[in-house]
Amino acid sequence: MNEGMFGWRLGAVVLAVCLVSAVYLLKPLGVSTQFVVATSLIWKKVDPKLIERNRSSNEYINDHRKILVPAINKPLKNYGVILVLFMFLGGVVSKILFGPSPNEEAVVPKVWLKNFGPSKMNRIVTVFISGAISLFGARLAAGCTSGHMMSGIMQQACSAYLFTAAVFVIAIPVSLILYRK
Amino acid sequence: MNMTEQQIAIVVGFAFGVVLHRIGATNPNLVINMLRLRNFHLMKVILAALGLSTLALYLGIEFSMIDVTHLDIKRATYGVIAGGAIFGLGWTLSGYCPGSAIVAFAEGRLDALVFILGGLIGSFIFMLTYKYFDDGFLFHAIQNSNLNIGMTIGQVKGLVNPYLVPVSALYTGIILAALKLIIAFLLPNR
Repeated sequence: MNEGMFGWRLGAVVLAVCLVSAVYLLKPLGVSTQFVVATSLIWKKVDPKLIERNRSSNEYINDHRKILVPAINKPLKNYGVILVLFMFLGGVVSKILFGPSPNEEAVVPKVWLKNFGPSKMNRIVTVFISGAISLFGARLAAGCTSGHMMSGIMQQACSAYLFTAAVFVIAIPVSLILYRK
Repeated sequence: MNMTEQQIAIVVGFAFGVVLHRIGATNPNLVINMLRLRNFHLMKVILAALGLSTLALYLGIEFSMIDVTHLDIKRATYGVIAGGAIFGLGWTLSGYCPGSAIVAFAEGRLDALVFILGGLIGSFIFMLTYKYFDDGFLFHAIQNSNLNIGMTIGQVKGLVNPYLVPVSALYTGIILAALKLIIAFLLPNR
């Protein structure tokens, strides 16, 4: 499971370099906003009137139009969209160069298998719900693991400490109850 | 060095993708085993990285090597707490978070793609329901709290924090960073 992984000290140094470089060059890292952008891109395909003259019929886009409207109108020139696309590419290259490959774990990870058995359908349904819950929460909090827990704590933001505390207060007991084996 | 926003996004995004993969953040086993307090690898990596990055960031600001206006301190609202709790539940159900799912999918984990699709639906539900709570208390700042633990952005350099402890951001940063590094070293290596 740990084959090819960085040891924790090296991992910490390279992660820190990444987080600081982002601020040095432009601004702190964050990912979850791009889910709103992606959703809006699909939404706009279905309803081209979603955004007209920098205004949107959706209140959320409208309230955050300074960030969202340019991203939705010209996604391939947008900082956040490019960031996420190249994160994906980074993952692909890292796996090809250094491994490991998830292989038989591609849908059902070991810890899940031990607790809930091999059913792919159970895993897929749960992960889908997990994605929906996570992104709803992340948007309500205006950030996720990268924006709050990493970039926010690096900057010593009060909001990030509050977010992190709230996450672990729920996540640790729920994990202990759910995954007993 | 004059890089465009797009070039910066390419460099930072690519590096972040590689690093998330190399530290094991894309592996749901490691995340879930961290959350149920069985394996502390990721916690050690992230705590130590946060300690180091806070030191580098605030020393960089102190010595005028990093532009203070690049900081982006988010407001602390009740939504941050409620959203964090909801996020915590979602996180443990799968072992993925928004960033790690993207890289995990790149690694060949197909369930991560399902997480991303679920995430699009979750974002959509949020965007549709936002109007029902955007006037409520959820997005109200908790008093003075769009500050960082040390100070407001304008006070970053060596000034006193009027709200919390009377020390500069640099010193608060150093103390909290040292604490994180100590915890990272003390956590069991497994």
